[in-house]
Amino acid sequence: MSRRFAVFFLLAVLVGGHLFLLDKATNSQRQLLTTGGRTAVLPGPLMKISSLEFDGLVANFLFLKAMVFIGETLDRPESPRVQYREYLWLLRLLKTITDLDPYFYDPYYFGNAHLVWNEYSQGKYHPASEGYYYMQDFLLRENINLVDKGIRYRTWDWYLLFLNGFNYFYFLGENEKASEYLMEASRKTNSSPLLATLAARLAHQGDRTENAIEFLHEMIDATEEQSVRETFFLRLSALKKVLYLERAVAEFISRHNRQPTALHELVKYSIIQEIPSDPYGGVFFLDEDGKIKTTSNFVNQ
Amino acid sequence: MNSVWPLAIITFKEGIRNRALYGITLFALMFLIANFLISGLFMQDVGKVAVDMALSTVSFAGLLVVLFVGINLLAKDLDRKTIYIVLSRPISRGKYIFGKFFGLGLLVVATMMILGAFAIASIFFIKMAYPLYFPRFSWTPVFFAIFFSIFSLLLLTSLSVLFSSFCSSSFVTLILTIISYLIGQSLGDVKALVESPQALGIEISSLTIKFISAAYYLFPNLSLFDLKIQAAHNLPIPLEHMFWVLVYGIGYAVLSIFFAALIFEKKEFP
Repeated sequence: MSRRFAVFFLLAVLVGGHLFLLDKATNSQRQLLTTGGRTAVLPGPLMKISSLEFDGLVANFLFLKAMVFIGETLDRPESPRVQYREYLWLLRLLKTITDLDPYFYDPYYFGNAHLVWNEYSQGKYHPASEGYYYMQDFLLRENINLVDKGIRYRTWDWYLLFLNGFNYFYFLGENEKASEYLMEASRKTNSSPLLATLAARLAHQGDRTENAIEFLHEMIDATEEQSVRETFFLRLSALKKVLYLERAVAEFISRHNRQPTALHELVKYSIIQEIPSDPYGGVFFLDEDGKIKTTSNFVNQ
Repeated sequence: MNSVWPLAIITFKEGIRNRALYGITLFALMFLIANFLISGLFMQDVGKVAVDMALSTVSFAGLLVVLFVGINLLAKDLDRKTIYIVLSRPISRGKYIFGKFFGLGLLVVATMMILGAFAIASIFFIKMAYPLYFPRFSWTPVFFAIFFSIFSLLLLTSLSVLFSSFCSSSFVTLILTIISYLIGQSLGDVKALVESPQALGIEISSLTIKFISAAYYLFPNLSLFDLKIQAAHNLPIPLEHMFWVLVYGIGYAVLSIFFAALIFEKKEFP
């Protein structure tokens, strides 16, 4: 009896001691200076060699590491929440992951979310505040390069093209470049039919009305769905009228060596018979920058 | 052939009885179950991650079988001196090598078939759970990837037979086989790297390049047999590529077994 009790007592002490020590040891670990989850990132080619035949597997685990890192920053109280050097680390990590498996979709998607939508890319903080003399949009540009890499490999994917189209349009204001991406995206199978009209609109805003018209013709030929074709036809007829007016303005400038003050002048000097009506229900007008615009902004009134 | 077959069967049976085999299978099973949890953590490419994990598990478990069960079986006769009993029978030394290789090959194929079936089951269940996240998935490349993985392990087995024909201890065979595996898997990437060093912005001496090309012709290029990325993303695998890789693999395996038999014929036993 007493022996059994002694064994039981010893066991209880040992188990209790184990739990106590585990707690102590883990807590004392916090005093170590850690890297905050960020460890050295090997360059892609070296990582590819050292991961042997498990490239894909290593890519998965490195990507998990990236997700866990961002997840842990979510409850940081300070601002900016993630430091610039941490974004640079994330960028390096994503580059290595996509070197290991360039077809892996998630790193591009994740990178576009965090390298673009952050306090540095949106201009709230400057990298110089942390001693990095990079351009303000360095992370954004690097992210565009990363997504471009995904586009090169994932030839079936329209969404990455859309992401970069959006980046060019929204962050950099380069409508022409954005429309190129969106046009490419809308040519992929399974892409959203909205992309084509969006691309055509951006091409128009980027002074590429002729490209937009040509592109819409192409899309109408490739589309079977009647309702989608109708939206394309509507946009096409509007853009054809815009092109007609643009050419008239160019004619006016070559004759009179000045910008017309308004579209009515084109009729007054009998370059055109009348100002065409906007199929979206708006009215065409000549903007201060010399571009043809419409009060409907190509949206049904 | 008559005397080769029974030896192969005995080797196979001996391998099946090895406890390590159960350990490895158990490890693979646990990993394949964990696959379910891990692939669920990803955002979009769940199908890719599931296929990657399943195929990598199968390859890695197969590798452990070759390294720890296979080499152990090869060395047993020498370590326990039972080789004298075998060689006193009417069987030539060459046939002994062939018999051992076929037995080990049978063991590798059988284990990989079972593990492959588990891997396929794990992918199947994950696909059932997340059907929307498998937009580009197809089974055919998965089967091809498992098949080629088996093939690369057979190639490695043939190399381990070659090493055991001249190494006096199984430990040396193990080390040599592991080194060959490491070199064989990374050689393709290393060669690509030294041929275009500007990718890393480094300079490489011509001696290194010669050294690497020598290794390139000496060691088997195991990375050729790795189709995991293709399976994970359902990328096209040209039939021509599969044909040439298969023929290359058979050629290399035959060559190493042939050398092994030659060396073993001349071997002196203490």
